[in-house]
Amino acid sequence: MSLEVRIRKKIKGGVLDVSFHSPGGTFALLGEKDGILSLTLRCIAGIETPDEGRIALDDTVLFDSLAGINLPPAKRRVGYLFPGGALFPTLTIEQNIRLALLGGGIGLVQEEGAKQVRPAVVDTKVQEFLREYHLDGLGGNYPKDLSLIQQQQAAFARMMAGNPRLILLDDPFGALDGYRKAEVLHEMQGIVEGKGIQAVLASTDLDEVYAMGDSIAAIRGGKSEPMQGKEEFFAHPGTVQAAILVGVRNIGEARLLDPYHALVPAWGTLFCFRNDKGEPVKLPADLKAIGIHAGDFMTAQPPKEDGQKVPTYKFPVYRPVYGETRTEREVRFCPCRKGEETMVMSMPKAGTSPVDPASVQRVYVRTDRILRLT
Amino acid sequence: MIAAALVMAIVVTIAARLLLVPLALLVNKAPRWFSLLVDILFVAGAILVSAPIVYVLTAAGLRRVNRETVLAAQTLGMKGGVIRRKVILPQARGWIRAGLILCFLRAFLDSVVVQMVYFFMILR
Repeated sequence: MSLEVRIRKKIKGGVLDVSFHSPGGTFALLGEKDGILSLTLRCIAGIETPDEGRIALDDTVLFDSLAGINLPPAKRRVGYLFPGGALFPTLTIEQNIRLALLGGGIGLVQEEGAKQVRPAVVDTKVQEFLREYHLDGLGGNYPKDLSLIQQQQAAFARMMAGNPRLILLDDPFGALDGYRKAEVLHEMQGIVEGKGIQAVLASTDLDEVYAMGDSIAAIRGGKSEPMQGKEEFFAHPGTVQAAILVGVRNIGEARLLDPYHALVPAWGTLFCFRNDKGEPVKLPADLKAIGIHAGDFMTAQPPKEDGQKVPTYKFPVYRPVYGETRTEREVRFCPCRKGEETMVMSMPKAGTSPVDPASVQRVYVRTDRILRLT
Repeated sequence: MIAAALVMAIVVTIAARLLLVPLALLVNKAPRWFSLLVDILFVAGAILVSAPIVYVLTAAGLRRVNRETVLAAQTLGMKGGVIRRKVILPQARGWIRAGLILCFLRAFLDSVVVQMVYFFMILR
């Protein structure tokens, strides 16, 4: 299973320009709450039509502007889970699932050689779906009688009853609170992995994207960033846009002085990166900024590795201010004596004690943890 | 303000109905072909007056159909007829029903009530 998407579409105030190739599993799109993620998924589902480009699922071309192909949504076999579920409000949950089975899911209930579908077979299949998606005893209820989590489960069951080859999850956990969200997320993840079905998740939540996505791409300002593996994406986002979405809290605009040196005026720091042999490494010609994860700062030099000193950058700490969030301790500080720009250092609360900001004179970052953002 | 407007609407409606009574009396004295023509015009007029009510309310009902449910139905592979019958119309049903009831009441007032008043006037 592979999904290839390369589309462009004019939108209000810009252009949607998305391209990625997902080899299988769950592909996650991380973006902002500006409707771009939904628009991308709607183009894949066939609800919206791109101005140009190509969308292909395995060997099936769903859309190709050059070849004049644009399959209607009903023929794409692409399931779409809307943020609110979009269950049919005048039908019971059973009827919702039954309609999906008689639509796209007809292959699941039509017996071989039979021209007509036997109602008993459909009934049995509906009950199977209700059981599988933990909706036992709720089949006779209308959507408004269910909780948000049950509605979302029912919408997921209905989508799967449509027998899709690809499922699109459009911010599926947005309306759920933290604990419930984790519950549904793990359930959906289990089903998607268990059935080996390809999925595209669009979300603005880092945790959701991390939990479900095998590979990830960021979309910002209508343009998609190159796809990366999950760990790589969070540890080393390649662009300023991706770094912002991933939550890198220290991003300093960089000025390239020569191919090997970049100055970040706001931090008063000159960066020059070296390889294992100590030779300077060429910086990207389109370098825009230097980024540092708040959690990558250390209050002391890291210990030697294999008898070698670990290369680090050292930042002086001026006017430090201590703060706490639910899970982290933070120290905000200025890296320049007279500068206005602040940096943030954070550490997990677990296993650490409150920091006396006056005791922090300087902080260190491993050179290999510093992000070169284009 | 709202109460005054309501009172005004009731007064105007009753006055309009009473205006139709002499017309009905006049039609009774005219030749048969003329009364038939006036009857047809009455029906056409009633339809013209009622149609916008049904149209406006039906349109309002259709506008209130959750668009995502229609899109969901499309992605689920449902055909156009099924989508109209099972998804769109049931959601707009209340509004369409309201339009039909209003239309019926109006037609009832325009024809039956006038006929009844006319009938009682003849009897007297």
